Amino acid sequence: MDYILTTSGLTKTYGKHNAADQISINVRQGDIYGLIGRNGAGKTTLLKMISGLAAPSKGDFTLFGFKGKEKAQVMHRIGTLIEAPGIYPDLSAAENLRLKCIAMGVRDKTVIPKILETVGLADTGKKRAGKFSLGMKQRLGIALALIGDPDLVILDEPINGLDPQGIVEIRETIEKLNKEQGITFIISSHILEELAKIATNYAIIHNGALVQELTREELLQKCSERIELKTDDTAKACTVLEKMGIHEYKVVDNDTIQIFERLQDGGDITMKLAENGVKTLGISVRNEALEDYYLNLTGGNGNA
Amino acid sequence: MLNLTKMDLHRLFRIKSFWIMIAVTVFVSFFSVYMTHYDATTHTDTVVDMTDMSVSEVPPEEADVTFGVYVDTKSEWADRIDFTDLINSNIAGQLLAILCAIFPPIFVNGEQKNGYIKNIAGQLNNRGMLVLSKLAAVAVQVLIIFAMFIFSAAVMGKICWGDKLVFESVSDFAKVFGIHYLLHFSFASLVTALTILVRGSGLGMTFGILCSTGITSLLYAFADVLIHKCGVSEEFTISKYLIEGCISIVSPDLSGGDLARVIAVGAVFLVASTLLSMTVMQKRDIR
Repeated sequence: MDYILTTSGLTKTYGKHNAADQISINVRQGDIYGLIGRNGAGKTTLLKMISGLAAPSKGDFTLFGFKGKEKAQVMHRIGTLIEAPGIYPDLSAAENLRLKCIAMGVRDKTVIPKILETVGLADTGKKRAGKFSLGMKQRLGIALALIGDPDLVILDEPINGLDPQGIVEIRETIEKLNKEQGITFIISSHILEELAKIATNYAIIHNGALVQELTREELLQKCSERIELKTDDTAKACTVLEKMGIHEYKVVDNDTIQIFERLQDGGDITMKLAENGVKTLGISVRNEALEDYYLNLTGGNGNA
Repeated sequence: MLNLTKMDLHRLFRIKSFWIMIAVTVFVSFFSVYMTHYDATTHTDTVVDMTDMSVSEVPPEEADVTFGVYVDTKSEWADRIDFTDLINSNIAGQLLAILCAIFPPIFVNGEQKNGYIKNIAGQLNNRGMLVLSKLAAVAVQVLIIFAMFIFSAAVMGKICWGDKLVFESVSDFAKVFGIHYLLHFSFASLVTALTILVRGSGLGMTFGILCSTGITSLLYAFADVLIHKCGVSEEFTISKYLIEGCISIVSPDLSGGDLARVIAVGAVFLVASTLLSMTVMQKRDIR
């Protein structure tokens, strides 16, 4: 599989503390890759290393097929919004974008109006960026990340501090850019439910280390509603389920089967199992919320 | 590099502090030239103390350690004054050094302070280029300070002296201007290096102001004592090898060894502070 970004044991050490510890993730072209972790988990540190703003203490990463010092030639294909948006408060949105256009050698004068339109700041005119609302500043930060036509955009906590309307606007902007322009996104957040609405892949980071990397389908499967069936003979129970036309199930261990369809047919399943001589030790409908799943993985009640 | 320089120059002309700098430069120039005229026409062989706005009868070279901004004035200037002498005496009094200690750090630190640097630094092959582009903008900033100061001095000089203000030698003016520009740009680059080093304008600014107002001369006097105790000649004084010391001795008559030393001091400080800034910017993570 072709990845545009592969990190290999990325580690960042401050003093004796590993802010990021041996993190290895893989990002494909077109992904919206979500980094989940509580505050201080190491998300920003990882993103800073990938963005070229911080040097790894150990490990390396491959970017668009380039690694080591060679990847310097493709760093311009990354756009970043790390932590708070870096903007000149006395300049307008367009002036802020113009500065980056000049720095990146972008001469096309239509770029700035187009990007302002994309992020919904086309009507801000000469209003100083310092007078913008938090949501507008975040959108200006995203606009800055989009200058230079990047293939990969890294957004660190882009919805932090936004009101619900602002969150929806940012989410729609990201989805639009991903679908229409094929831009790959890496987005960090500690607001899991929001990230779950747009991300196609996830990496769960805790205490500087990668706990799990999984796709959206895998995560939904882990967190979806299901029948949890406990029986004394799982092999025979599977045969019964197949005969009933139930195919979406998973044998978890020696006596547990998770069934992901016909959730309202628990009674019929129990009866069929009994008819075939399979004892039902327990049956229940379960639903693990994303947050519960995260907390179970990281073993805590943090603010993620 | 060229794009970054264009970006910094574009920004330079759009920040508030740039226009404040021009206003302050014009005010300082008007005030200083007026005080020089006042002093030349009402006193003899005195110096104007710009720090406490009073007139001192003690020339700085007669005191062991002097504080403040001093502009040398000669009694004959009441009847006739060469524009080069007027400009040199004011610049040698560290007036522009103070401005160079204040405005370049504000400009250079702006990008770090608001985090704009994070938008561009990661995409550069060599972050040291960020320093060179800043210094190119600072060079322009210092040039504008000089231009505004000289232009304003010409206006105020004409108002105060009328036809008694003369312009005797283009080459003398060019010499004084060139040496002072090198020293002031070097001074600004040193203050810039401190700003980059500590990621804030406070230290650089404070250091620059202390140097240009002569307060650091206490340290130099102490260092001289220690150096002399080590057997080095009594003629050696450390301030001769520092930028602010060199600024104060520039004159149209400067030549030979002194001229070479002053140029060498300016060049060495410029190169050293540029290399320090580039190394720090390249090696250190961006916050």
